[in-house]
Amino acid sequence: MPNVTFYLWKTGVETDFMPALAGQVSVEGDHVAFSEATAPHIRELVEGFRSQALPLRSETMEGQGSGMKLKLREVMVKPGDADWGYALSEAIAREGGYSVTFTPEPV
Amino acid sequence: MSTGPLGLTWVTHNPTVRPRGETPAAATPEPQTQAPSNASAPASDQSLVTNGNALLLEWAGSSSSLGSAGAPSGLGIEWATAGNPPAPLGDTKPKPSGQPSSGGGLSLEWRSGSSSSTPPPPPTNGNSRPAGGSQGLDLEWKSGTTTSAPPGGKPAGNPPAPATGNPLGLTWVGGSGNTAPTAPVDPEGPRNAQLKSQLLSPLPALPGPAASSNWKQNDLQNRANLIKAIRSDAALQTAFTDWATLPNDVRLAAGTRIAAMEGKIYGFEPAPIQIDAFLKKPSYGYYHPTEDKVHLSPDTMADLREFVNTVTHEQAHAYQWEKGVDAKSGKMSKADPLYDTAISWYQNYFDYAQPNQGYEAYRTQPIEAHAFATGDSVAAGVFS
Repeated sequence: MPNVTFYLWKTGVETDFMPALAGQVSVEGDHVAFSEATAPHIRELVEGFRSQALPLRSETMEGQGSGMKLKLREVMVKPGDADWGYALSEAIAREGGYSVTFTPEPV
Repeated sequence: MSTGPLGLTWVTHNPTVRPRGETPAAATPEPQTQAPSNASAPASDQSLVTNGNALLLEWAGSSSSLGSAGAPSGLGIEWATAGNPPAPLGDTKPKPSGQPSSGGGLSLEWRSGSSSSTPPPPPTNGNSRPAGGSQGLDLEWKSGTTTSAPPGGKPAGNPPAPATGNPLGLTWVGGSGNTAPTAPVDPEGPRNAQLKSQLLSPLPALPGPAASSNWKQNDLQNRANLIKAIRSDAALQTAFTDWATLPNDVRLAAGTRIAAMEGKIYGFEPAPIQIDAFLKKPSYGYYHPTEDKVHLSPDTMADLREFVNTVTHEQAHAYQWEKGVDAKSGKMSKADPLYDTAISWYQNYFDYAQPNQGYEAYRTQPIEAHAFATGDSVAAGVFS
C-alpha cells in the first residue's frame, strides 16, 4: 500500500511571511495520521475529505524543443487509491490556503 | 442573408441583370414625381428594405443599350434608417425641402462620367447627384426627420456645393443638432486605462535576491519579500479589489507587474505572459522554456487567487530555467549556494516525470516541488 507524508505550511503576517509548519499528514491506503502539532483546521479539513473522491490535476510539457506539447490530466481518485494522498494534500492546500511539500523543509 | 448587431442588411444588385435606373417592367424610368415611400430608394430599387435599417449596395451601369436613361455608372452605397440619426458635426447645410418622408441615412455614390449620348435625367429628389457627366464620389447624410413629403414633390436642385476644400463632393444634409454621432463610451474605460498605466509603471524600490549561504533560506526570504511587495503595492491592490470587473488586458498588466516584482526580488528575467485561449481546465497555465513564455488559461485570468498562484508558479519555472542555464553554461559560479540545485533544475527539464509515471514522481521532482511551493505560498500569503 503506497504511503505518502506531506507537510503543510502557512504563510502569514505573524511569521513575516516566512512559511511556518502547520501540520504533517501521513496517508496509507485510506488511513490518515497526523503529527501531534498539526493544526486543528487541517484535521477538520481532512475529516471533510476523508471519504471523498478527489481531483488530481496536472499539466505537463512533453517532448523537447519545438516538439513540446502540453498534456493535461484530471482524474478523480478514491480513498485507498494509489494517489489519493496527493489529491488530499492538494485539496487541503486549496481549501486552507496552505503550501504543500513532501519533505520536512518548505522547498 | 445575415444581419449584424446593428441590423445591417446587405442588398446586392447584379449589374448584368438590372442596372441602376432600369426597372424590371419598363426600360425607361419614369421621372419620379412623388416622394418615395422608402427613405432613399429610387423607383428601380425593387429589393430595398422598406422597414427598419438597411445598408444598400448597388452597382449602377450607364449603358444606354440596356435601356438606361443615361444614369451615370458607378457604385452606390446607401445606409437607410427609419429612425432619426444624430446630427453630424458641423452641419451647416440645410436639408433639401424635398427630403423623402421617412428615412435618414448615409448615401455614398460613385459617379462615372461615361454616359454618352443620352443626357442624364433631371434630379429626382434632393439626394440626387449633380446633373451632367462629371465624375466623383457623393456622400450624403440624410436625416429622417421629415414625416411627410412636402407638397410639390422634389426640390428644384441639389444642395449647394461646399464652398472650399471638398474635392470629393461630400455633403452633409439634414440633421437636427450640432453634435457629431459618437460611439458608445465605456464608463469604466478611462478608469481601467489609468489603472493599466499604473500597473505598467516602474516598480517601487524592492529588495534584491537574498544572499545567504543557504539557498533554501534565500528562497524563503525572496518569497516573503515578494508577498510583502504584492501586498503593499497600491496598483495591484486596486486591481485585486476590482478584479471581477477588470478586462483581461488590465489583468494581464497586473500579472506582468507581479512577474516583474518576482524577477527583481529573485534576480531573473521574467517571462512574458500571454493568454492562451485554447487552454482549458484542468490546465491553469504553463511555462514554455524554449520560447520563454508563460501561457495562462482564460479561466485562470478570471480567478484572482488562481491567477496570483499560477503567475508566480510559472515564473518560478522561468527562474529555474534561467538559473539552470546559467549553471550549465558556466555563467553561475560553482561556489554559488544555488549551483547544485540549479543543475538539478536544468536536468529535470530534460528528465521530466510525467504524472502517469506516478504522481509522487511528478509532484516531488525538483522543479515542480519548488514551483508549487512558490505559487501556493505566495497566494496564501497575499490573501491571508
